Amino acid sequence: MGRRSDCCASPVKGHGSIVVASGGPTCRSTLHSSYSEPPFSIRQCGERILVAASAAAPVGGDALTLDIAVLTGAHANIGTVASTIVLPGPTGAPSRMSTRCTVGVDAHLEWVGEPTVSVIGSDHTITTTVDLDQSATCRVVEEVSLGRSDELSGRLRLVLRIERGGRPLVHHDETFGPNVAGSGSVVSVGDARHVVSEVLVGVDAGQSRVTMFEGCRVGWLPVADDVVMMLGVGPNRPAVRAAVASIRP
Amino acid sequence: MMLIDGRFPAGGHTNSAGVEAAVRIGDIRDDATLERYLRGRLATTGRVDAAFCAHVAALANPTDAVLGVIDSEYSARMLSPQLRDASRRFGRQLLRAGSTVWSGPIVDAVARSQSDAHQPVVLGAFVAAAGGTPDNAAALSFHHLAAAVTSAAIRLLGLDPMTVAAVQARVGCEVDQWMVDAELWATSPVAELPACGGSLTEILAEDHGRWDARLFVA
Repeated sequence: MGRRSDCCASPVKGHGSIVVASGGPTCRSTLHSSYSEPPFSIRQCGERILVAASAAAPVGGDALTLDIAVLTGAHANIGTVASTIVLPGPTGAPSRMSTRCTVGVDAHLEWVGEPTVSVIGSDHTITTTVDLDQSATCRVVEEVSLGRSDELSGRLRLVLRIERGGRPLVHHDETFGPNVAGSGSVVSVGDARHVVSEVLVGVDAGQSRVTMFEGCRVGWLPVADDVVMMLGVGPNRPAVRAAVASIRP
Repeated sequence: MMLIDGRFPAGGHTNSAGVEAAVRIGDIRDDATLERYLRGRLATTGRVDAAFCAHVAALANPTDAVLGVIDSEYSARMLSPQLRDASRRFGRQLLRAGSTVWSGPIVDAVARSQSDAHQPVVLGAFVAAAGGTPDNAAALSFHHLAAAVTSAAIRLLGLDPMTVAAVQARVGCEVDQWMVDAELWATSPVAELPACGGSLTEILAEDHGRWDARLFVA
């Protein structure tokens, strides 16, 4: 075996960008331009714009950034093709993925990623910022699976900040993992293995509600008259998705 | 000293910091599970509260606009409407009680806020009015949370107060790792203050606020 420094590939410092423009009243989601380095591969697929992984990433040490701009009047429906498996790297270095979104006048961003799976030994931070124009709306869905089947998770930190017109609507920073303070308690997610968060801006938030459903706990938490944070935790993805569906209006 | 006295009539005895809900579902059962819970709360909501408290304590005479931004930033970190309401309620009670003892421009500014100020904001204002430092404010804030968690656990589970005091002392020592940030929190843009939280902290707090019969507000 070679020495570590001889055998390891360099960390990936990948960047991607997506600009979505309105193509008129019949087509409000046109991929105006995009730029992608591995591991990002960006394609328009019908009404959706999808990000596919063209390389195994993130691995420990990787630093990935994705910029999304939704221009005036556009409705962008953006997601990922498959789950993201977060792997530890050979050096133990942490990895990070930063997504920065700007949503313009009368525009809408639908960002629905497939789950991020935290693999034991990994240390990953996902930062998502959304800067909405005062007239813009969005739906941002993030899902994480805490470990593969019958394995512990790695350390996974999720940071989400959404602003509208320069004022913060939601700022939530949560870290998961077996060695995190309070891990296993209800300060965090108890013994849950799958977590969903969804922010809706531009809806009728109505009253808050909480439900228990098939071992899952889900909260519909209005943070403003037209802004809701939905949080759901449970044993697995199908159960949490069903619980989340049950609490929607 | 009065600010950290549990007998100071600021309504702190009605705050379990989520312990009542955690006990109900069996998450806190004994000293060990209490210690786990306390460690998690101090690392999450505890850091947020301490940071905002320290930040406010460094303000001499804030404008309404500055306090408005602080209010928005803190509210954005508290997702449960029940928790937000409770925080403003505790802030109002602390403001009423504290105003009989301390006064100053920062207390006046907080008192004329359009909406009731959150508890860490009011606490920070009183620390400033009493001549304290951001460091003092952060320490006070952590202490308030630790005291709320441990005293609620004693009342709800009948745990041995001596053992619980040892838990509080042990976990409290770990707070030192964050206390070094107090000066940074005092000078950071408010948007960059910690936003640490937990999903079930918010979900269970929202559920707890709707119980028909409960001993604690939050």
